[in-house]
Amino acid sequence: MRIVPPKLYTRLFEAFCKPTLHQELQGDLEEEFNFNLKELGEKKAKAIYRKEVLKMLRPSVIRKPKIIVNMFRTSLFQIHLKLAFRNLWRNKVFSAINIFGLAAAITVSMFALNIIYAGLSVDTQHPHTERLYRVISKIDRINGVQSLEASTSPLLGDKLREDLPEIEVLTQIRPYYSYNDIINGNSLSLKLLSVDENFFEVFHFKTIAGDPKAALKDRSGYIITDELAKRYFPNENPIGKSFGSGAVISAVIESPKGISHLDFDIVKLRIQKPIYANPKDYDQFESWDFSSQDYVYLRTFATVGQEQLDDKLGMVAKEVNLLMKEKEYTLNYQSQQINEIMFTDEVYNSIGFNAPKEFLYILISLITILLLLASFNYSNLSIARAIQRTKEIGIRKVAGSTKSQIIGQILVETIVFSVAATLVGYLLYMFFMPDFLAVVQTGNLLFNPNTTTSLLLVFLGFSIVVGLIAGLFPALYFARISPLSAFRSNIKSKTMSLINIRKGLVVVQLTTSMFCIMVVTAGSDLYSSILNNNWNFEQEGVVNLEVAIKNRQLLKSRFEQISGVVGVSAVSSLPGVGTMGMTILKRPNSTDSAFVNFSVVDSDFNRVFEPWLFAGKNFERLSSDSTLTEVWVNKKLLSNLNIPLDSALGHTLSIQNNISRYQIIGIMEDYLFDRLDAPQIKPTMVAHEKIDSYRRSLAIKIESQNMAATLNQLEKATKEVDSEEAFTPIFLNDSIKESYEGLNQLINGFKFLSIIIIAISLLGQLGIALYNAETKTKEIGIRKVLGARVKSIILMLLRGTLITLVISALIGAPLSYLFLNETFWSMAVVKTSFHGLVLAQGILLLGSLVVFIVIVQTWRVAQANPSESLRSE
Amino acid sequence: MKGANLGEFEEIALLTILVLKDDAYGVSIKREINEQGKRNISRGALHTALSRLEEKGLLTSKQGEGNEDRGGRPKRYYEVTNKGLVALQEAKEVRDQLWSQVPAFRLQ
Repeated sequence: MRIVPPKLYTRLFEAFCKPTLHQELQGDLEEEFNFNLKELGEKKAKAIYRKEVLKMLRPSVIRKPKIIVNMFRTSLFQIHLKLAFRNLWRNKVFSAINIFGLAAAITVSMFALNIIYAGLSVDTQHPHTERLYRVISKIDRINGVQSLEASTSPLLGDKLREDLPEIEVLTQIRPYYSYNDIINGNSLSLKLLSVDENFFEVFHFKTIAGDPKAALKDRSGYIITDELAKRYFPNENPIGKSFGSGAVISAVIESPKGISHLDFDIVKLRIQKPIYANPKDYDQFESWDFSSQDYVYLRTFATVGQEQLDDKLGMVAKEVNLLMKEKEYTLNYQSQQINEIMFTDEVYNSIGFNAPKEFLYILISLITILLLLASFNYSNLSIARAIQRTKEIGIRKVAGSTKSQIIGQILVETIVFSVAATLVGYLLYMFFMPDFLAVVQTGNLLFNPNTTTSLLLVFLGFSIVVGLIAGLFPALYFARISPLSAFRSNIKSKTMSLINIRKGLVVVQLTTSMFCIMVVTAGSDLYSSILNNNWNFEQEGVVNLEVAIKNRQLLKSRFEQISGVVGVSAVSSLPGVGTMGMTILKRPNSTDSAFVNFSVVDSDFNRVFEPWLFAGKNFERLSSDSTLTEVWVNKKLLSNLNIPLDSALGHTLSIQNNISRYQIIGIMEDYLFDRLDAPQIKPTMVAHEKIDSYRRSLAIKIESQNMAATLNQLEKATKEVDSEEAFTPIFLNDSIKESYEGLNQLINGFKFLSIIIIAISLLGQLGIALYNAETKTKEIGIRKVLGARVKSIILMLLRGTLITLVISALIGAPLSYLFLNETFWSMAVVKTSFHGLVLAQGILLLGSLVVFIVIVQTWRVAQANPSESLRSE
Repeated sequence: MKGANLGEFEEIALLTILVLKDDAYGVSIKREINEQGKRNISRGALHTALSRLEEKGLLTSKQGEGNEDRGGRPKRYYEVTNKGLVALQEAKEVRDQLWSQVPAFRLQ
């Protein structure tokens, strides 16, 4: 058998070689191959052949890719551009629909892109970020629960510095997120980082004024951000100015917002030995057992890999486990690269900005879905107009346009559209920016409000990609049109398949819109049923007041004397809002323990809130000799601890290390201290403790008449006790509402998105209806001549839309049912009823909107005088 | 003007074509250069050089016959133009002149 050169390479060469050169060069290659075959053998000859083909990859040999050449060959490109603008101008309605649909999607995508871009580009300015790590703790509890914590023990920094020679430099940070101080006469709550000398060796922030590195050595010197400096020293040099606490500003650095996951207003050198009011606290907080305040960042030497570092950290963790008194869990240390902090797995006790990785995926899928929907619109409308434009394309083809030129033309057209849409979208983006910023700042998200050049480039590139995606399908369609069939009057066979694709796209759009309506309705239902739920306590007429601990007792007794006041209770958290925190209870006759929600009240709790008890009695005045603390528990706690309901009263409970014991004197009904947005009721315990212990606020029950007068008196009494005490009472109802604000914002976000998605779909429907009505003018005319009435004509035009709607409902309803069952219908204790109604509402709302649009569009055509529409042919 | 002077490789290619006389086409030029110049150039590199020389007008080419070894594909024969000869001559004169001014030396 004749040996031939490697076929793959021959084909490859044919693919990339200029056709004019191919014959001679291929001949030469083959001749040489045959020569080598005789001289050197098959193997070598083939190897040489391959190498020769690869070496042919040079400008003088390679052919230029056709589409690109045609798109950018300037003269042709100009014609395409001109054609695109003419088309845009001639079909103003279609263009407007397309541009606004795309713009709506692009606006939302811009916000999402900004978050992604800002999130991915943080913490790149530090020296050698590729070997900059944060040390995090992995905690394995005895009961099998694992968790990651970003914070570590205060002793870890020094130990790592001593034990690991792999570390080039290390810094330990302790953040204070509500540091109070006075600047220029303004009393502020600021974010302060207490750091060691190495902070600026590890992190880099641009110096605006002063010398931050030297300033760290000066103990009272504060380094502030330019943001803080600009706000409070707008026209003066902040250096040398002092805070109310006496600290002097010694340097100004750039604000970390948008460039780092760290978040601070002030950096200062840490105190070597923190001072605690109680010396015992020092031993407790500055130990291996306490690890919720400090964060360790380090940079390794260039030769050290992350695995090696993790090994060493694991060894340190083993030693630390021996040093810890606490045996409830074992620790392990891990490193986390600095650029992985922004979008990370769930890490508790995190510092500064970060978001779960899933959030990144949600953002990306959001962009994709929105753009697909908007691109569908474009494809849909272009295909709808395809039949009119077949003639135009046919003429161009007869005049000698190649396939790739047609593709080029359509793509240029789409890109013109998408760039126009981006401009509109950008204006909308700037318009909505302030509202969006307000929402973002409440969350832990990074968002860059300034438009940088690189961000603009991202947007521009994005719009071109959108154009290419949206235009690809119509472009390929137009390119396939043969000039002959374009002029044949019967082009049904081809358009039939096209109409099917179009219908498919419309169904997808309507299904998504329906889904959105259902999700938003279900979410809003849930939110309102949480707020209007039958709480098992009295909410009316209760206000909550934060007071300083030193005035607590005095203010309580003063308030109780005021005439309109029913009662005053010092509570650690308000019922309806949730509990103060968690505590651990030991199971009776077992070494196991259980986490329970925990709050603290006083004996006046009953008078203020009138809670409903399932069994037991109210709290009484504390007797000083009592060793048992009275508690209420809920039924869930009893079942969790295996305590039978009927013998529960009088039962005692102990916390982990047997220091204090509780006695159950009452069993609460649910919906008292429970969070209603949790999937199920959690075990809860409310303890009756002395008024001077724990952080508390005063809940004041006021008689409903003369409320304003009573409030005035309360304020007067407050000022009399302490003139510096602020009086800002908040009604209980507002506090409850506020505590569910997260859910509300989630639903509002959904709502905003849904409006955009529905708007896009409706714009698409509008376009299709318009097109249908226009193309069917003659048909309608003939029908009318034959005696059809307006109603039957509209029904005829509606029929297609109705069928699409029914199909969308059939797909959308089960889909949202499944989704809602996993989310809004199972995420909360409160169960919303009428699930079927939610689905029906979605179908009916969207259905009526679409039908309305179609009727309005067809009405005009159906009304038209048939003699007008039939005359012109 | 850049490009008026001959590059080293271009000069060798032109000379090789002159040496090969009527049989100067891709494979033979390549083989001759590889043998005489003790170097290993690829057909692609040669193509680039030849097409540039043709653009400058130092070479002409014409299509020739094919044979079975080439799968019947035609050869392209190259011939040095007058302009090419002049350029070669000039290049040689420049070199000779420079050589004549170099003091006698021994290879070390």
